Amino acid sequence: MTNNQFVVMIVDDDESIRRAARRLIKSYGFPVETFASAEDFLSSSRLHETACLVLDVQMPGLNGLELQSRLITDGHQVPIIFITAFNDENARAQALKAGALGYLVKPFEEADLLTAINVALRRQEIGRQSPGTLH
Amino acid sequence: MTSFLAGLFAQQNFIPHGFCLAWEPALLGLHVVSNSVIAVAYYSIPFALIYFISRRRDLAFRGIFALSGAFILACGTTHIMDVVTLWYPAYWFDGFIKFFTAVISIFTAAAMWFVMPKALALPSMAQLEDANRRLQHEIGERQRAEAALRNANEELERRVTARTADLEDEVAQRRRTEETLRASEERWRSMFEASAVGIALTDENRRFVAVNKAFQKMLGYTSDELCSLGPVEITYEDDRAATQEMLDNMLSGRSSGYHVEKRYRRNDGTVIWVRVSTAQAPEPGSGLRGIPTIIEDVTERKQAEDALQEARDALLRVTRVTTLGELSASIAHEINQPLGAIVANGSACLRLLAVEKPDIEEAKEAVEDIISDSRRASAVLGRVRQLAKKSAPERAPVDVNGAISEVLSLTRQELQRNQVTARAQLDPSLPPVLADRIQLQQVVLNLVMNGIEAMRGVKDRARVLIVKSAVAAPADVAVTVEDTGIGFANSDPEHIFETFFTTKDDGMGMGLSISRSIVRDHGGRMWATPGAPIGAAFSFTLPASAGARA
Repeated sequence: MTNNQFVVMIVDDDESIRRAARRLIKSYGFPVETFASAEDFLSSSRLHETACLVLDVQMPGLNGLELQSRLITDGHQVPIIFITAFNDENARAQALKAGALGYLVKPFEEADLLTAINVALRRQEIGRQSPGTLH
Repeated sequence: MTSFLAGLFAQQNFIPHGFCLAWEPALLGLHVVSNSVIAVAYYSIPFALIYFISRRRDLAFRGIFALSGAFILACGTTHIMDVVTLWYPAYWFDGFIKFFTAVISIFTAAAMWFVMPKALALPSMAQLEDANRRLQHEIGERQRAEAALRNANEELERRVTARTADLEDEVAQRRRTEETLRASEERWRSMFEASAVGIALTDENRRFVAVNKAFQKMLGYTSDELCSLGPVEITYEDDRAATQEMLDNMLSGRSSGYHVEKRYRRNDGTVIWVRVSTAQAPEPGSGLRGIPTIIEDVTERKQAEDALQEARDALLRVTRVTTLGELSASIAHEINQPLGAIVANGSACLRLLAVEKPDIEEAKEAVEDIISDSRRASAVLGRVRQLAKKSAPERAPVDVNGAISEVLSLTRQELQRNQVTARAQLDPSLPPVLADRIQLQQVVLNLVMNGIEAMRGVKDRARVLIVKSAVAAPADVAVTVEDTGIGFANSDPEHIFETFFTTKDDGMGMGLSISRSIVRDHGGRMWATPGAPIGAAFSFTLPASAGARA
């Protein structure tokens, strides 16, 4: 929470959700950036500043789960919190199995999001304080 | 007497007349012969006269003829006496004969003169012939006149006979015509009375003048009651203005008749549906009175039609709701999106206001977003509720593009979930159509859902659904939904419109047949064509509503 270099990135095709999530996460005191699609995020080269990715599951083009797979394949260990308006058990299982920190269904509880973000930031901090010494 | 006669023939002292002639034989002979011949001739004449008189009973002056006969007879006797006295001198006797002859002669002469004027007055033979001729001529004339008169009489009789025959023919003809008319009248009357449909005549005062039994029974009024009413009075209140107008148009000649379905109110207050067909109103002055009208009770048919329509509406609604059921996950998504944003904004707002120096501006923006997201969620619910609600179909000008956009927004998530890219190519110059908006959306919704279904198994190519709207000739709006799905393979595109035809495991096979029936109901048509190069294209047209504004 003290490291301002780490930015929470929001990728959602729904503008209302982007605006609301940005406002909420900002109110926690975290810097926030938003992207309307997975492709926008990938081409932004903001991956290294990403402390946490708040990702929508259903999106035109590359969807949330596909972006997750892509990042894993590319070797980026970015903490991901999924938010979805569509509760699909298969999607949830796939996301969590691949390492997602949360799978929140809209309308989600504020506390759940905050908790998940904190977990993500702590994990990032640990990773940063002792790079290469995960044990 | 004997002495007197002896005295007459006494010859005493007289000399015979022959003596005077000296007894000359020749002279004596001459006298004897001449007197004898005269006497014979004189004696023959009276006999001729007597014969003549006896034969000619019509003879005039018969007395004269008799006197003349006696006179000539007496003269003849004197000539005989002239012969006698040649030898016997009975001169006294001869004298008396001559005296007797003289007396008759005088009487005869007197009588002759006495009758002379009369005899002269007798017509002569020529006169008689002339008179005869004239008479003959006159007789001829009369006979001719009589013949002419007879001819004229015969002609007259002939004419009278002919005319009488003509008159009899005419009378018979008239009787036959009257019989034909009576038979015709009876025929029509029995048709009028026995008809199963109502028949009525309405006069120019908008009153019934004749009604048959079927019509009385239909309305529960007697003939007399109906004849004090008119078509307007027995019409159901809501239909009266229209009926009044139709009657006005017929009576003023603007309309030659009408065929409508309308409602009557029966005597007992119940409402019935009837089909009314009027014939042409009679020409003014034709002698015919009234507008002939045939009325058929179609209440049962109307009720069956209403029931059918209700069943059809119910079926449409059920299939709509079924489709909405299939869309429930997507609909939930569409509502959860704004709800998620609302909750997040609300939470953010609370945090923003909880700090010592609250960011009022940001909080205000959050509240504004909450309001707009609430509206968005409400709009989604509204669209769903509209498609699911139970209401009678209603035709109104519809903006086809708007209706399509709503369907696409409702199915957005469904499309996305199935990795279908939806593209709308909507012509902004589209005229409005007169339609039931919900039914129109049901058709588009069916086609979109079918498109998604058709592309579900497609792995080797992009799943693309294109919805197009365009203006089509002559004045139609055309909508086409294209997909890149499995298409029709080798089957007939028409086949898929059949009820209960389905390629889906869980489908009812009613979507397309219902869609087509909706489009037809709106006066449009619907068809399918193989997509180019792959997939399928479903199109339908709707007639643009002239002058309507959506």
